[in-house]
Order: sequence, then C-alpha cells, then structure tokens
Amino acid sequence: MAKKKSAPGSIRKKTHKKNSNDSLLNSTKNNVNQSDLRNRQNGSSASSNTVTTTTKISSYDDDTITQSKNSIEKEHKKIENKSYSQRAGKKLKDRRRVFFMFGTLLGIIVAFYFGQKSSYLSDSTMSQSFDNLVNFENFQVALDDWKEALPNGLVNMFGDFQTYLTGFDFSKIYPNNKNDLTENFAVGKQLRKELNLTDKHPVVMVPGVITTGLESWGLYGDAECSSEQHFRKRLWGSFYMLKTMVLDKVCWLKHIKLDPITGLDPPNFKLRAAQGFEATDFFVAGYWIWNKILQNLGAIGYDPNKMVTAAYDWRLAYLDLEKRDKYFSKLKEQIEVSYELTGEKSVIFGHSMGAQVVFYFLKWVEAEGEHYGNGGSDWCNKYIDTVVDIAGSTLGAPKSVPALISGEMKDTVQLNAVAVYGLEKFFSRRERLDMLRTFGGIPSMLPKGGNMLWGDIHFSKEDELHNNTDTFGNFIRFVENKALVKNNSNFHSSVMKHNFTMEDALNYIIENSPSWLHNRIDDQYSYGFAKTEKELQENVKHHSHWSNPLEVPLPNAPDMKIVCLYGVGNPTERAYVYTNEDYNTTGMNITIAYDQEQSVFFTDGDGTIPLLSHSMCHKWKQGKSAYNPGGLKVKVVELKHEPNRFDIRGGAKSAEHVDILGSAELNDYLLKIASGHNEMIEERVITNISRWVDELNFPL
Amino acid sequence: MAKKKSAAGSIRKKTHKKNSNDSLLNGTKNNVNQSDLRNRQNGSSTSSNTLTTTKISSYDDDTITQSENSIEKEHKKIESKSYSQRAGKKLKDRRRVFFMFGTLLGIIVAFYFGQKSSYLSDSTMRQSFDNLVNFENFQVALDDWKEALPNGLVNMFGDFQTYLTGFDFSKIYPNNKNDLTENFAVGKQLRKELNLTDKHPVVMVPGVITTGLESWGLYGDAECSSEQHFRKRLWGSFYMLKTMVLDKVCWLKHIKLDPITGLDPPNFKLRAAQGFEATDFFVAGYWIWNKILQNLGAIGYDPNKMVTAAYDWRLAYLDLEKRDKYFSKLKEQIEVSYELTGEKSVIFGHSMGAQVVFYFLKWVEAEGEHYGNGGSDWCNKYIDTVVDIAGSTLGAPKSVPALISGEMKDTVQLNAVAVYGLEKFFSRRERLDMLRTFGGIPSMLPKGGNMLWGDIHFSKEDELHNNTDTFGNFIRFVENKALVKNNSDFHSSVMKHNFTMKDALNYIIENSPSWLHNRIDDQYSYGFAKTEKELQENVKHHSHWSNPLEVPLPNAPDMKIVCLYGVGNPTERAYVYTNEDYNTTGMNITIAYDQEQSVFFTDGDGTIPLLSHSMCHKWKQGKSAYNPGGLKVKVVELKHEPNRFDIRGGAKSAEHVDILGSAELNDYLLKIASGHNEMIEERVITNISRWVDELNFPL
Repeated sequence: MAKKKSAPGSIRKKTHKKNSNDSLLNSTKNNVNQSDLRNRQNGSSASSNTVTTTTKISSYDDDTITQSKNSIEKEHKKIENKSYSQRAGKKLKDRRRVFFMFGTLLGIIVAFYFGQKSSYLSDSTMSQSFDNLVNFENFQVALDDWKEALPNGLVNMFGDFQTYLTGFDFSKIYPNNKNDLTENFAVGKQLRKELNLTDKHPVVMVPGVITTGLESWGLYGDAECSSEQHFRKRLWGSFYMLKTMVLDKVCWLKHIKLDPITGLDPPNFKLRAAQGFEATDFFVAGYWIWNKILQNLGAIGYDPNKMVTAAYDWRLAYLDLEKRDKYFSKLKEQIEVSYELTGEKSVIFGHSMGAQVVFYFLKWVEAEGEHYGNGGSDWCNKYIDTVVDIAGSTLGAPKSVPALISGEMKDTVQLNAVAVYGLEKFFSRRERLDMLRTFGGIPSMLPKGGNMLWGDIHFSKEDELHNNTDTFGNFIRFVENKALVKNNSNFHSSVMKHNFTMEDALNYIIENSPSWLHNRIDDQYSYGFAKTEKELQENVKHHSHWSNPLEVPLPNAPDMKIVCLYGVGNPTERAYVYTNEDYNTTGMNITIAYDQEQSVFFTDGDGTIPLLSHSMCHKWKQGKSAYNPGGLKVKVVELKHEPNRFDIRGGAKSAEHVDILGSAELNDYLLKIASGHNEMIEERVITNISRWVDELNFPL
Repeated sequence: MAKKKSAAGSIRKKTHKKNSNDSLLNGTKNNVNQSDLRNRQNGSSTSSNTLTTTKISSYDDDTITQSENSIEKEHKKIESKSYSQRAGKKLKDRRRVFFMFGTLLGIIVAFYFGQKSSYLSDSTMRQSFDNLVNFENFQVALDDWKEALPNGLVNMFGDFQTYLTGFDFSKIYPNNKNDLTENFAVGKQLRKELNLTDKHPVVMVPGVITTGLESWGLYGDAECSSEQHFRKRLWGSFYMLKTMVLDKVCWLKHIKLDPITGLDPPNFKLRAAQGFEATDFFVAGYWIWNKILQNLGAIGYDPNKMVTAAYDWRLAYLDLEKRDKYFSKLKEQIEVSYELTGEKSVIFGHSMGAQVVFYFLKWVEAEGEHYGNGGSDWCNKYIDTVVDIAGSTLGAPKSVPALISGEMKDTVQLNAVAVYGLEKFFSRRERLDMLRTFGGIPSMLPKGGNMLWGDIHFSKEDELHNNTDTFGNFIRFVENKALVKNNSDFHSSVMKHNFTMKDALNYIIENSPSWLHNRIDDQYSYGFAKTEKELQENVKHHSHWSNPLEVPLPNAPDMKIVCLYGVGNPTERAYVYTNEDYNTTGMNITIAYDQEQSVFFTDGDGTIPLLSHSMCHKWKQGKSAYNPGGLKVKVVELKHEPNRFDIRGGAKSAEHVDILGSAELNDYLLKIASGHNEMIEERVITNISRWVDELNFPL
C-alpha cells in the first residue's frame, strides 16, 4: 500500500518555474465601475513587501517558549524576505500535501487509466490489482480502532525522521507539558486540567462543501444503472466512492449529478447527507476532518447529548436544502430544543462553506414567508451564544470561478502533463463542468462584492503583496493559443478581446450558462453589494441576498458574538490565465492555459480562501454600523500557516483550509468558546487586512 | 473462520433428552390468591394439543393454495406431537437462534479452554485469536461486504436445500420470481403492486441489547484508561468482542453502571450510538433493523422521514430522560415531523422498545418535573399508529433467572465444557453483578403476578402440554445432594417450597442490595390495578408507566395499535433451581443444569412467551378501563416457520429478533407506514383470546 501511494504522489511532482513574465494580452477596454478607487489608493500601496511580517506570534504558552520562538521567528524572517509570489512558486513542491487525498484519488485514477493506455499490463490484471488496492485499503479500515492508523503511522514515522534529520524535537515547543499537541485529545485534556474547562453551550457543527459524506437512498435507478446495490452506501466520502467512481463512472455520475432543471435528485436516484458525527469525522478512513475537534470536545465533557453535526447535502442550492430536506427548520428546532433542555444558548461552528450556510441561516430564521424561518427578529439573540466562522468562504472563493467556467482549479492544473492527460481522459473538464453546474450549492461560493472588493483591471488591494507591476484585479488574463488560432470562432475573438475583472468573470459564467443554471443563480444568489442602508434592509426579505453579507446586515442580536478564525500565510489562488480551446475536441471554449509558465496567481490566504474574503469580519468588527446594527462583538484571530513539513496534514500549527480543523490553536479557541470563555480569546491580526478594509470603498 | 465457527457451534450441540420426569420438590405451601381460577378453567383445558393452524393467512392467497396445502400437511404432522416434546426436539435446530451470542461464547470458550488445557502456549492462542478477530474484521472491510456473511451462507444453504429436498422455496410465490428473503423484495413488490409510498414519518425504537453503545469518556481510572476507546463501540461490534476478551476488567468498568446512581461511573461514559447505524447491524453480518430499513427505502423513505430513536438500554427508564433527555427528544422529534410534513408519526417498538414506547405514551401526558407535560391530547394529535413488534409488554420470564443468578436458557443449554469455560471467563456472579447495575433490565420482569402467570397449581398455559405439571410452578427446587451438608439456613428457608412468579420477584427484591431494591421501587411496579380509580391515579407516577396492567392506554381515539408477534417457537417459561456453594461461586442458588430438564418451555417467539401479549388482546376487546379511548387494536400472530437452512430463519421466521427480517412483518410495517393499516388482516392462531377472556383481569 505504502508503495502504491507514493507512486501516484511522484507523478504529481511538479517542476514549476518561478517566472511571471506571462505574455499577457493587453486589455484595451475595461469595465471599470470604480476606476477612481485606484487613484485614491495609490498612495498607500508603498508597503508592498510587508504583508506577512509576523508582527506578533501569539504563542500558546507565552512565558515558556520564548527561546524556541525566537529561533522560529528567525527562520520565518528569512523566508518572508522573499517576495510573496516567489514563495508561492517555491511552495508548490511542498504543497503536494495540501490536496493529499484528492491527489491520491487522482493518482489512482491516473495510474489506472494511464496503465491501460500504455498497455504495460492487460486490462483485467490492472482491474484486478486495483481491486486489490481498494480491498487492501479497506482492510485498514477493518478494525474500528485502525481508522486513524494511516496518519498516525505516517506522523510517527515522519516524526522520527524529523528528530533524526534536524535534531529538533518539536515537543520542546511546549516544555510545560510533555504532550505533543498534535496528539489526539491533547488540547482538550490540557484545557480541562489547567483551566478546568467543561461543557457549557450546546455545540452545532456545520461542515463545509465536499467534506460531508453522501449516502444513496434510492433503489431503482434506471435501465443501465441500478441503484439498489448502493443502498445506504456512501457514494461521496468513502473508499466506496473511489471504487465506484473508477469502476463504474457512468453510474456513479448518475447518482452524484443533480437534475439540471429541478436542481434536485434525478428521478429514481436519491442521495442524502450522512447522519451523525460519522458524516464528517473522516472523509475517507485515515483522512480526518472534524475528528480532532470531536476528540477535544469530548475531553472537556461533550457527548452526543450536547453536540451535533448538522450535515447537509452540499450539492443543493441553499433554499433547496430547506425545500427538500427541511435542513434549516431542523437546525432551528435543534437549537431551540437544546435551549429548552439545557437552558443554554448554542454555539455554532461553521467551516468553509458551512460558515456561509450559518450566515444564511441567521437571515433565514428571521425572515417571514413560506419556506422561511418565521422565527422573529429576536430569535438569534435568544438562542445563539456565538457563531464561529472557521476559514469561512464568507465573501466567496475565487477558485469557484474557474470551476464553473471550465471545470478547473489550481489543483487540476498543477499536475504534470501525464496526470493532466490521464485526468482529462478519465473525467474530462467538460464532464466536471457538467457535473459542477448541476450542483446548486457551488455558485454560493462565487466571490461577492464585484470589483469594489476584488479590484478592477488596474488595481486590487492585494497588489501590495507582490512586487509585480501586475494586478490581481486582472482576474482572468487571456493568452492566445497560436496552434488553434485559425479555428478561433467569433466567440473567441469577442470574449478574449480583453481581460476579465471579477465582475466580468461572473457575467461570463452567467451569460454562458444554460438557462436553468442562469435561473437558479438568479433565484438563489446575488453577488453585488447594497448601496444604501435602505437597500440593505429591504434585502432581508428575499433569500437570494442571504448568502452575501454585503447585501444584508447581521441580525440585530446585541448579545450574540461572532468569532472569525482563519489561516493566513498559505498561497491561495487568486487569478488565472486562460486560453482558447478547440470546442470540437474538448467541448470547451476556453480553458486555463496550463502550458504557460504561470497559469495561476497566488495571494495570501489559507490555500483555498484568500484573505480578502474575510473582509466582512473586519468590517463588522468596527462596531455598530449598517452591516452590524446590533453592534455584535466580533473577534478575529488570524492563524499563521506554519506546517510541520514532515506531517502530511501539517500538524498542530497548520492553518491550511481543511487541516486547520486539527490545529492546536484553533481547537483551543473552540473549546474556550464552547465552555463559555470567549473572553479568554486574544485577538490577533498579522496581515494588513484591517487597513485594506478601512481603505476599501464599502458603500456603507 | 468458517472452520472456527463450526467448531464453536459443535461445542454448543446439546444432547438433550426429552423427559420431564424431574424430581420436583413438592410445593407444600402456596401463595395462591386466585386458586379458584384453576377450577373455573379446568373445563376448557381439554383442547390440549390445539396449536393447530386454523388459518395460514397467505401472502398471496389465490395463487399459493397448492403449496399451502402441502405445507399444512407437514405442519399437522409436527403439531400432533405434544408441545413439550417439540420443545425438546427443537433444541437442536435452535442453535441458530442465538447464533451470534453463541459465536461469542464459542470464541471465548475456545480461547479459555484452550488456555486451561495448555495445548497451545498462551501467546500462540492470543495471536490466533487476534487473527480471528482481524479476519472477521476483514470481512467488515468493504462497506458492501457487510451483509456478505449471511447472504453467502443463505445462498450456500439455499443450493443445498434445493439439491437435498427438491423443494424450491421460490415456488411459494410463483407470481414473482423474487425470493422474499432477498433484500428490498417486500418493499419493491408493494411499491409495484400496490403503489405504496412513504406517508407517515417513522420512528424506530429498538430493543434491549441490540443497540450499539459508544464510549465518550476519556479519563477512566488508573488501571483502565478510557481514551483508547473514545467513540468506539463497546457494545454491538467486533470491537466489543475484542475488548471483552482481551481486557475484560476494563470492558466491564465501562459497561457496568454505578450501583448507587444508576448512571455511568465517574470518568467513564457510554452513550447510545446515533443514527441508523446504531441498530442496523449488531455486528457486521448480523442484521437487526437493516431489512426494515431497506424495505422502507424501497417505498421511498429516507433520513428525512424516518429515524432510529436509539437509547442506552442499560438505564432505568426515567434515567433515560434525566441523563439523556431521551423522551423529551423523542417528543420533539415527533412534533417537528408533524410540523414539517403535516403527518402523524408511526412508531415501531421492538421487544423492550415496545415497552419504552408504551412508557413514552404515559410520560408524554404526565405533568411534573422530568415528565412530558404534553397534555392529554398529545398522542391523538401526533401519533398515527404504535406498532408493538414482539414486545415484552407484560415482561419476559427469562429476565427473572438473569436477575437471580445471571443465567438464562442460553447459558444453561451449553454442554459441560462450554458451561465450565463460560463460568471461568465470565462467571454467573460477575454476570449478575453487571446485570443488577443495569436499571433497564428490571423493566422486563413479568408483570401481573400470579393473576397472569399462574399459581403453584395452575397456569393458563398448562393446556399447551400434557404434563400434570404447571408453569405456575415458576421455579422448582431440587436439592444438590453433594452440597447438602454445606446448606445454610438460607437454603432451607428459601428452598422449602417452589416459587410462583410473585415469589420469584419477591425473592429478587428481598435479596437485592438496597440500591437495586430502591431503584426497582422507584422505577417499576409489577402488579395490577384493582380498580379503575387506581388505574387512573397511577398515571401520575412513572413507576407504573411500564406496566399496562396499572395504567390505561392514552385516551386517543384516532390512534391505532398493531401488535405483531411470533408464535410456535418454544420459549422459556419455568426453571429448576438448586442450591449452590456460596463460598466457591458467590451464588446461593443456581439453575440446576445437571437436571435432565432444567428449563420448561411454552409457546412464544423464543424469548417472549405468548402470555406476555395478553394486553394486546385485552385492549382489542374495545372500550374499557384499560382502553378508555376505544383505540383500534389489531393483532397478527406470525407462525414461526423457519427455513432450517437459513441461519436467520429466512422470510418466515418469527423468532424474537429474526422476525425483523420476516417478509410478512415487513409487509405489515410498510402498509402501516404508508397509511394502509386497513390492509392488515388480523390473525390469531393460538388460544390466547380465550385465555384473556378466562383470565381474572380485575377490570
């Protein structure tokens, strides 16, 4: 097994050169609505190489670790002296780890299909050896207690290596307690022992996109694809998914894809979110998601009576969650019942898209109307103690844009040619796009705020992070594929005439979508910003605005608290280079120009969500305003991404988008919040985002 | 693995002679309250061999008459033998019944006996046991292998069967080629032929023991850390077996409750598993509710419309509310379903789950702290139908020996080697100590005392066998001659005369530690209300809510009750006890397993005797003090006709647990859930209706 896994890993190794001298098409016409913005801000963009200087590393145990802290800081300084985009390039090699699991999946697929193509092995041999592989992996799942064997085994192995190679023992960081904080339960046990934290508030965990398991509950399927064999099996989030996907892709896709018109399951197929903690504790055996948090909550006394995972079918558009599954109604009842039974308000943890779902819920629950919560304007104040936004995609994730334009994202582009070829053969961009388009939940993550937030063709707030003359506001740049130039249609020449800002890109998606997708996006979401306070207040009446905190205010719930916790210092995709593509062979008009030396540009963030998406937390934090009419207390803590490079999941100090759920510091905060000690959390902002937010042209 | 399992099986083979000439002690003094009952009934006890199938209501009446006839002929042949003979004869077949429990015992016995006889070194044994567990787990590996074990066996045996008997079971349902034991078969057929779809939200309340328990503690104590077991199933998984065998002390510390509080001991914490996984399989390969889930799925149910209300069956009922808010959550669940779907719920309660459901009906109406405070119209508003599946409504006699000496039929019907091995590994005393801490177990003690279960001279069920003996003689004593000289005053006073049911319960309570005594007093009551006023007063205190002889049904005229239970499977009903040397075993008395017959059997489903379902028949008689709302009650008796080549009995098994996979039962459940209660035809093939008429119910 170990051997097999490393093989696909090495396929994905990328020899990526650091050179951003892209042959960018020059934009001749700009759809700039706020071009004055640029001029107004030019003065403050002098501090260009200063972003990631660690102004203060708030340490876990301040007084005792100063020495080792110093040495760590020195190292960081060295790294940070390089320009940000250089680091981004350099880090690519390390970041194999980031999408370890996704990569494993791709790796297996690629190995399988590429093997077939090159016919080294006969078809049946390959298929059999793949079976063996899956079976063997499942063998590891066999004993319940082996569930974590994979990462722990690797961690220990790498840990030994590390001490051997570097002479640096990580346990020295926390000399007061011998526990390695990556160890299971470590944070919770320590907090219980030292601060006597215990369970207080009922906890509701709202997971992010993709990480929730989906089970098949249909029976009938269609003529080519019976659903019966998959009954109550996880077709998303398990080894079973990998097996089915590879061995019977057509059938798997029929289950996973939604009906384009209704946005719900196709007739005779039925997938539902898994239930209970098992829905999100591990994605597949060995790859934890919420398990560390469950363990630490358990260590201070939580059990199923006082916490719950509110898993949802992340494929659905938000209001369809209510219409089909009564998701928000159940969440509301859950919180009300907890309050009745324990007398305590709930604490809600929302991760990634889950943070958006939670925000949506806050508006849903107050709204009046059919399918709405009808809870009244004091509901949140009465029932919710704290909302915790963990790495939330609050103002969107740029990577959702290429996903909905061409079924691509950084992760599919940063493969080597063989892997890209293999992936395209097995599950092409067109197929991926067709699938993603049916998922009404995906457009919720499209970036909000348009060019006001994400910059125009000349300038973006984030430009100070790198010393290029280029701007992130140039969200999609076009280069011409010379080989295909003669095939170029009028479509190409009109589209590729000039680069896209964020607004252009969203317009492109909507204009080039089938009408059903167009309609769904119109009905469910809105990506602009309210220009007046009146507009902001009017917007609360319609659900299309509830996923966009620039268009609706926070609930007027003075006692409710918000805590934003997110990672920074991990290069995050922010802009793309696109090229023309031959529609006849690939079904795509345009595609990411992965033959370019740099086809993806990176900004600061957690690897998935760019820093800028968290602007809203900082805006709210400024106190009573149109956006925060109740004057809710908002705390923001930025977690610096300092992965242990010998830990495949980054260890106790990783702040990567998903791995942050295992971060010792994050777990520490979550336990303090859950146990009613919000006041113990010290805010920390190590980036310039507060200044950006001040300088950005928020209308309110 | 297969080899190992058959070895374990053969250990449990029992050469049991059919001879009931036990040297019974003669009862000299009887606590008979209703001895006139016996005289009054003597006239009607002539039909002693009357378990004749009056009508087999067939699945598809018009098409299967032919095969039905041939089956009936076979049944006639069997049924002409006396009941107790059949009981004896069936013992060999019934290895299947506690297949899984047996596997567990088998493994343990093999392991420990192997150690004792030192054929193999300790480490070799341990390793080979590890391999065994790992191999079993290997089968769990792929999700879709979960059912591989029974299906594989079923298919293998199925082939054998056709080969050996030339009888193809699929001919029973010639209209559709589907074997109804196949997954989804019932649901698919009902959807196709009757177009049944999901209507009422379904709540499933599982029985005792079958619900998985997960550890949520972290700290444990000095000898036994709980951390390694975090979120592992210490009940209801192979992990349980492994932990139990390799670290019994630690396992017991987790499983046992604190005697005084009746809750988890400090620093240990077990909670019922959540979701459908809590009860779909007990261990991989041994389904519990999975067939029902599949069939419900086939007519359109999914997690939005059904839920498993798993509970920690170790707790006394009110502690479920106090600790876990179980009943509050169940109430909210049903209310929310109603709000969201506009439909009343249907509740399936199996075994002890049926008692929990009945308790809930009273709890929800009652006023007071820890009570439901739902008002007297709650049930009528929110519940469409309560389905009692093989419910232990008036108790299960086997809970009595369990609480006297940690024994029951299943531990007695092992051969000497196995009994020895089990005693060494997990002795009666240890079992008793464990069971006593479980406040949930006494809920299953038989209710109604001698009124229902008979006095020392006579029980209603005596007509089932042609012995002169009576089941009312619930515990008979024989003297162990070898130990006679050690006999204490205790023995001579206790064993002076046989026990009726009432005596046995008194013995349990009198000989319990005060904490158990107090818990039983606080939580349960085993008598019957003598007046309508008493019945109505009783609803105010929770100790009566588990006993339908002491409280009436809710006054909910629109609510329906359906009782579905198996009959025709010998069920333990009376025991022979003997004196035991307290100094060596920690027991004063124990089942006399050296006797030729130490357990007596009556009709039932193998666990719950027919008599326990009397209440369904009493309610069915219409508006009465017990049923003030005149709720419609339907009763269907399912005859136990196991396919002897199917380890779980197949589509026509009505065994206590295997009935959950019965095609007929699934058929009924789907009809009820889809709002077609009216399609269910009642069927009573036993004499219980007459018994209920003749029993001396005070109301």
